[in-house]
Amino acid sequence: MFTDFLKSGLLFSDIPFIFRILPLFLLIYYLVPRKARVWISIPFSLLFYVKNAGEYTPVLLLALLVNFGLSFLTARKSKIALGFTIVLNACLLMGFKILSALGFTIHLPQGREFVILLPLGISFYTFKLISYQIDLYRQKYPVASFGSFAAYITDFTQVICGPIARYNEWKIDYDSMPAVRGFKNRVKEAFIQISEGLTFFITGLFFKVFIADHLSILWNSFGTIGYMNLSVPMAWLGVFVYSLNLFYDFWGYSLMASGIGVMMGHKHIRNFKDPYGATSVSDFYRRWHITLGTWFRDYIYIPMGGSRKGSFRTAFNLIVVWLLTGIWHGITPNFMIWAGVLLLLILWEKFVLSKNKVVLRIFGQFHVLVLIPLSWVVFALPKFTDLSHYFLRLFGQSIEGSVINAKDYLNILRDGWIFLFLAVFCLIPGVRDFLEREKYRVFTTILLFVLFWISIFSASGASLNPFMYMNF
Amino acid sequence: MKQRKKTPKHAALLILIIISALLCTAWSLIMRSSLYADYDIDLKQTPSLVLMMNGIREGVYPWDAKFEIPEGSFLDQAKDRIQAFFDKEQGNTTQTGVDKTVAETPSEIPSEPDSGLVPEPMEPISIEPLEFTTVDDTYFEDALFIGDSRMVGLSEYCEPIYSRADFYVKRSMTIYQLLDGKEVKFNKENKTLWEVLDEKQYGKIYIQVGINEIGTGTPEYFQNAYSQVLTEISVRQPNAIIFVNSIMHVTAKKSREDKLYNNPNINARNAVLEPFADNIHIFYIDVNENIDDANGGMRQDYSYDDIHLLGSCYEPFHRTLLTHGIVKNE
Repeated sequence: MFTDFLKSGLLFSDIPFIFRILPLFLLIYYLVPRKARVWISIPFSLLFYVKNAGEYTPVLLLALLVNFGLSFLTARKSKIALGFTIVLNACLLMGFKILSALGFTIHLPQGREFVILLPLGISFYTFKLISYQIDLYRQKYPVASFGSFAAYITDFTQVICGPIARYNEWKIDYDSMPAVRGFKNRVKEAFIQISEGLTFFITGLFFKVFIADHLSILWNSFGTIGYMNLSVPMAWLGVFVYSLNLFYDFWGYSLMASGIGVMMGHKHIRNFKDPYGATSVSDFYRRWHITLGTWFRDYIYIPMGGSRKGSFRTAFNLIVVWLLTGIWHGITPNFMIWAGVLLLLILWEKFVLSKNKVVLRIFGQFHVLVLIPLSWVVFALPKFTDLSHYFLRLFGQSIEGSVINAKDYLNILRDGWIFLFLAVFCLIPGVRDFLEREKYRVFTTILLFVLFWISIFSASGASLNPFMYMNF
Repeated sequence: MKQRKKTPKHAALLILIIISALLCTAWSLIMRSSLYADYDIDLKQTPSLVLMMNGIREGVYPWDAKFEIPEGSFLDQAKDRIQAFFDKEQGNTTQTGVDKTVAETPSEIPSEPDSGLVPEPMEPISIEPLEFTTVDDTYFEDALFIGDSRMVGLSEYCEPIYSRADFYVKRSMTIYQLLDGKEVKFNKENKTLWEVLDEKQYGKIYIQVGINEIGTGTPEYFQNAYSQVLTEISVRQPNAIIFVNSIMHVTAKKSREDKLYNNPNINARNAVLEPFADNIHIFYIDVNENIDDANGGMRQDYSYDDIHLLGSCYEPFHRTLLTHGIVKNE
């Protein structure tokens, strides 16, 4: 029975989750008094995590209990306790990153083997644990109750792939909210709160299952053909197909996660803010995966002095931040190259191009619209041979043994034009914000209703397509 | 966050979704054994409204539902009387309509083909089984290739063939889609296979489908559908040599990891295809012989996704086809 339960994961975009599990959870959640809701959230979150991460759940539980114990020491402004918790969490993360990358295997009795994998969401929940401890040390809030802390760390909307919300942003401040008395008012509260989150959820669902999943099918066909066999237009098309696929997959996930959070009464956690409307690489990364970027800013870059201690120190601090960003994504060479390239671009913008605003603007746009998509190819292809073949084909270099169909890109455009069009259209800054701002208008309500059923139709015919950031 | 004044009208979207979801669920359950009888889902695992979604995907819309009127009811008797009146006045046209439907969608091909479709019986030129011989690429000039994504690859990455032959191919194509007359883009127009076969007579017809059907039915069910398609092709293309291509293997890695799309399952399907070969009109080509490694799976370096050949790896497939030509002495 339990092994059946673990057979497959559970995603926010799964039909059973949308029509059975989430409504049931919300029903129970809103039936209990406000302050007891964390005790509904915790077991549900743990079940959700067990279903997705299986045997790696004890790692999360152990990290949770140890950190809760240590939080009493860090709250007393003990530098040793803070240092210890940071090192402990960092070692937990790095240990698993290294062991999983090396394919470390534990030999069990009766010839069985247990291959160490990266526990699902460990990069996200260890960062939440560290931010909680540091903010506690900085006395931004008092020690949380066990229920509140456990609900924050295990929160099923964030535990698998973020967003990396801070405790004070995540916590629902019931004390400052007007009391709701009577069954009728509680139903009304639930309906309105769920409706608030629904707009985020539906937009995210549409981005994920209709745009990203279809772009993913297109991107897979590049690999099927073989990167060495791509025509030059096809190789360039692939750069944008993958970039858009990654963006809508992660943005869609983030909106769904935040939407469920809002349904539960939390604040909306914004993880993306029109990144392709950025004017430079630095600006791009202030708008992309915002909760990770601000985490590095607040807990690494600024404590090291930020940009206040001269050019040399600023450059050094940026090197540290981008080295850690690369490692956070994975310790394979492609992530190091990816982070290194971005670091060079940021240094180039900060110390050379920034001397002339017009030049920075022109180069910055080129970086955002061409070089960042190219950097995602490095992100996508862990094998050096694939990467080198792809870049050779981008610039028209022939590779021995390749067979090229000069019109291959037409097939992609024919099969995927609608998804590419929608992906580009939704890149226009403010499209998503417009939906949010005008969500109570009749037109928007009907549009969201239609998007919801298009997404359900699309999701019902697709096989399980995990979120791309579940790999980190 | 700025607090808005919240009123129940702000919950309109949620209410709309709840009502529509309940309606879809109820309709799917009511129609489960009639309109959606062909769709098999586990209702313990999947919400019933998926039945409606699957139906729409296959062109079965909720409003296609027909209610049976109990026999002998007033309405039934009235319907019979009206029908009798029209039959008397205009002659019975029902039979014509049925024949037309069968011709367009031969999901059940009659054992004795309809006289309108059968050409004059031909004297067999030879009853001796023919043997494969090596041919050159001009052999494909009067060939039609029918198939799924593996054949799509051939149509895009094997210049000696795609520059000569016609291709009726589509990703995810199945034998059931062919049988049901599902349209595919052919020379810029959507056509059923039967329309394509009626427009032009081919010398050779190569068919390769089967990987997408692995999860549907048994090998015997697959064989039955395949048999009906071959019969229909034979009827419409009496002079063509039909080459039934084996289903191409997946890599050994994929085969080990996938409970469904693995080589034992593919071999079970190939085993029911091979007997179609009479070696007079229909021939079976094992396309895996130049593609497999020592493990009996597609060579790992030939594929990126463990299922399809890389664009640069269609030459072994091409070579197999060249060494499996049939030349009739007429």
